[in-house]
Formats: sequence, structure tokens, C-alpha cells
Amino acid sequence: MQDKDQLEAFIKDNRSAFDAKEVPKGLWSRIEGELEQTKTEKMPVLWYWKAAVVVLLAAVTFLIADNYLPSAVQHTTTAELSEFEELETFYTSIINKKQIKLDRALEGEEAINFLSSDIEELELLYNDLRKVYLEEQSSPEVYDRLMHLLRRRIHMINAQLDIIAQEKIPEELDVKIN
Amino acid sequence: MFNTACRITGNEMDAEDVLQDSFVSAFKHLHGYKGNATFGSWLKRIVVNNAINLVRKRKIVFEEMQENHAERMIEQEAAELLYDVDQVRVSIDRLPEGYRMVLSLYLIEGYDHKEIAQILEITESTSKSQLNRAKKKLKELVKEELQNAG
Repeated sequence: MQDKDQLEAFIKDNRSAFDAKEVPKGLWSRIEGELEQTKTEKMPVLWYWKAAVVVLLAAVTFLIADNYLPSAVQHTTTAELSEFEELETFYTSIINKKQIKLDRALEGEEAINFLSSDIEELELLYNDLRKVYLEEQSSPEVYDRLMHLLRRRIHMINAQLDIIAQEKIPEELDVKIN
Repeated sequence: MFNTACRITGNEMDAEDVLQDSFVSAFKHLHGYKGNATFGSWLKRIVVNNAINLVRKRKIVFEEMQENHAERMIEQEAAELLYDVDQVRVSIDRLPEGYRMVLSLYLIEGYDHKEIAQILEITESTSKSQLNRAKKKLKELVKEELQNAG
């Protein structure tokens, strides 16, 4: 007697043969068309999302640059640079003349060592800031600070010359009296 | 996939709609694919579910077999038949909806009774009994086809 489930075995053995129907023409293009439409519908949401990210990144970058990074390089104009050079030459010439005068007045005095070290320190500070002004940060604030340092050196030398001058007055008066 | 949809829905027009809806749905819910099964199995399950949902709208009627002497005779005679794929396929298409779905899912798509019970929202015993009745009915229909073929 043959197996009662012969039909079941026949179907299982020939599964692939039962897939005889072919996909109707145009079905894949319709599916493709609908998928394209789905992608297009999704686009605006994606666009807004991307735009939001770009705006957020731009805002964060701006805030970091504004708060934590040095300001953008500000290049001096020729007129500003010329003005700076003129004032620097003017103040430097005064400083040099007064420095020569001071050196002559205090020749051989040990006390001058303290003053000269302070002036040298100011000069180093000035040169560093000058480099920043000319190469990186040509802002009015740095310009003003440079001028202040030059005037400060003149003021220190003047103050020392005044002290020396006052110290000499009694001697001159003594000479006149005598 | 198209043949699977055809066997479940019983006609090509519905199968086309099922396939189109399934592919678009799968595309929209690609994130739902967890990799627990092969992608093909996942996609096929979507097709099967959509096909069954479409049929369900037509109300599936799980047939009650009325066995009689003639059917018992067919069962005995069928054992001696040489089956032909085309005739069996045509016979499957002629099966009542409930029978056709259970028989197709089990014998051709390769699902077991547990999976069929889950897909069709029936019990496993109902799936088994429907399959047995479907096979008997199919043998009857195949016999008719062979007789018609002369």
C-alpha cells in the first residue's frame, strides 16, 4: 500500500515548481515610484533637521570663538601703522635722550641698577606687545597699551632725573652760599 | 513573494496590491528589522501578514469537512495517482480560502503549525485539523482534474 501522504510529499518535494507565476510587468516600477514618493515626502523633515544641526553648529562655533578664542586678526591700515611708527620714534628718541642723561647723572651709582632693571623689564614687555600688535592683534587697545608703556618708561626716567636733580640742589645752593 | 501572495489571496490582482504595500511598508519600517531572521524571511513575513489581512477582510471561513463515502473512496484512489504540478496547483487554487491558506503556508511556504497559528490567530490544533481536511479536499480536487484531463 502506498503512503497515504504521497500528495504532501509530492508538494514538499516540488515547492519551487509551484512558484510558476511571474511578477506582472510594471509592478516593480510602481513599487519603485511609490518608494521615490516616500523618499520625497521624507525630504522636508530631513532638510529641516539638517538645517537645524547646521544652525546649532554655527551658533556653538560662534559662541566658542567669541568667548574663548582671541579676536580675529585686525590688520592695521597704512595710516594707522604710520601713526604708530611716528609716535614710537618720537617716544623712543625721548627715552634714549633721557636715558643718556640719566646714565651720565648716575655714573658709578649702584642704586641705578634697580631702576635700569625695571626699565629693561618694561622694554621687554613693550617688545613682546609690539610684536603682537604688528603680527596678530592690531587693536586700538593694544596700541594704547604700547603708548602707555613708552610713556611709563619716560615717566620712570624723568622721576629718577627729578630725584637726582633735587639731591643736587642743596650742593649748588651750598656752593652759591659759600 | 508574488506566488506566495497569490496562493494566500487566491488571485493575482490582490497579490499585486499586497506585494506593493509590503515592499513600501518594509522600506518605511527598515528600522524594525532586528536581524533575528534573514532579511528575506522578514520581508516574506510582511507579505504573508499583509496577504492574510487582506483575506481577513473577506472573512476567512474555515471549512467543516463533511466526510462521506465518496471522499473516502477518493482518498483510497488518490494513493495510486501520479501527480502533476500544474494540476495540483490548479487544485490548490480551487480550495476554499481557509484550507488554501493553511495548506499553502504549511506545505509550500514551510511554516510549522505554531507559526501558522500565530499568523492566522488560530490555535495549533485548528491549524492541524484544517491541514488534514485541506489535504483530503485537495486529493478530491486533484482527482477531478485528472478525470477532466481524460
